[in-house]
Amino acid sequence: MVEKRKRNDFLEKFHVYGGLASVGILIIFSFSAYVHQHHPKFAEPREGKPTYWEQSIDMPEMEDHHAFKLAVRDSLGLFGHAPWWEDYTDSLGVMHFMITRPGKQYWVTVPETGNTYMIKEHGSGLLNIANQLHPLSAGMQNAGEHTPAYTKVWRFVMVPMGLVLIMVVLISLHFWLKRSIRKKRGWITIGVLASAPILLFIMIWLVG
Amino acid sequence: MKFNKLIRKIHLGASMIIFAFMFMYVFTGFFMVNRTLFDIPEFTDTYDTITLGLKPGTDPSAYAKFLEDEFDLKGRREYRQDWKKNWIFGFYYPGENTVITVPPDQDSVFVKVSKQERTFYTVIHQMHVLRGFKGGWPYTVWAVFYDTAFVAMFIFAITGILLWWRTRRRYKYGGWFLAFGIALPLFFMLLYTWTK
Repeated sequence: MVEKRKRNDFLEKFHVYGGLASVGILIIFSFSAYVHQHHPKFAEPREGKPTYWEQSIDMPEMEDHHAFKLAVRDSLGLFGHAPWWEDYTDSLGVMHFMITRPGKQYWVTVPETGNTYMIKEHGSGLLNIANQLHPLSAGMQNAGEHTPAYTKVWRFVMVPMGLVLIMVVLISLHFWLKRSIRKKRGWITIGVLASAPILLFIMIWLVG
Repeated sequence: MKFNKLIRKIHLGASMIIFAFMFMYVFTGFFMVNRTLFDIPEFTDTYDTITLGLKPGTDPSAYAKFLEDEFDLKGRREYRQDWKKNWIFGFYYPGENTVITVPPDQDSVFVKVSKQERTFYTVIHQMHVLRGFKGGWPYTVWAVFYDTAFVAMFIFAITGILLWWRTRRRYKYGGWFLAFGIALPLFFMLLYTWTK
């Protein structure tokens, strides 16, 4: 009896303290999920006044287009992604591509001749950074040699925080199931709520 | 007391809604964070030019359906116009993407089919990034689930803080944990703001 009370006490404390410790992450993830699906204007990189700068770098001929963009990024001393879809050649045949990372977005203009690259730089607001913290843990692995160390720290923070969040939710359900288990209502409710998205995904996966 | 009970119920309801999603996203997210452990298959592209006898016209949605039937495609339908005014029709299905480019005034289509072998990782990745309302009713339903889940996540967090606040005498270190929980992402956000 005492042990059971101690265990329940521990679970309750873990739920409350763990939940409070991960509240910021939970809100960030909730916000970025909203942004990923609805693409609101306010979370886009701040348009404001971009700054322009130029830098001369020597780039060797490269067959792989994406590898070339990453090499340019490293040579310019930047870090971040070069999304494959943010890339175009304008009507004059000049190539432009984007490098993006939380806090900054760059459009790089590749010179047709010479070695002077022009960079248009946008700073982004806190909301945009909050959104970018979401894929950061997974996506910033190949952000280049100039990636600051704290990016890796964030990645390692996210995994334990994710586990804490799962525990917090499970404890919440555990206490509720304990109360409603005899009525079978608990299992049915949980079963329906859990299986609906899983079944839907399987359907999408199999049927298309 | 009534207020407490209501908040507790909302908190519990939110946890029920998010728990399957949270498992799925933490599970798939874990593999995505460690994607270097996987041998991710490349997309292989094949190209063809086919004459169909029909132009995209003014109804690209109907044309997308026409292409879907013509090429026996499945998956999420998306279309857009590129800067040359070409119509780009995409059919995205886990592990298999088909992109069809149609010049605006011609009835021949340039077909690029990109296929990727289905592996554990590609399915995991597809699960994690599946979102958006386009592409037919299953995708719309998924998008509604997704919306519900992120709203529930936010509500779970806020009601959790409220519940703690009303029992803060019992959980006296809660303020420190909450401060840590808010400061952690805020600290990283500021770091990125300050990094040149």
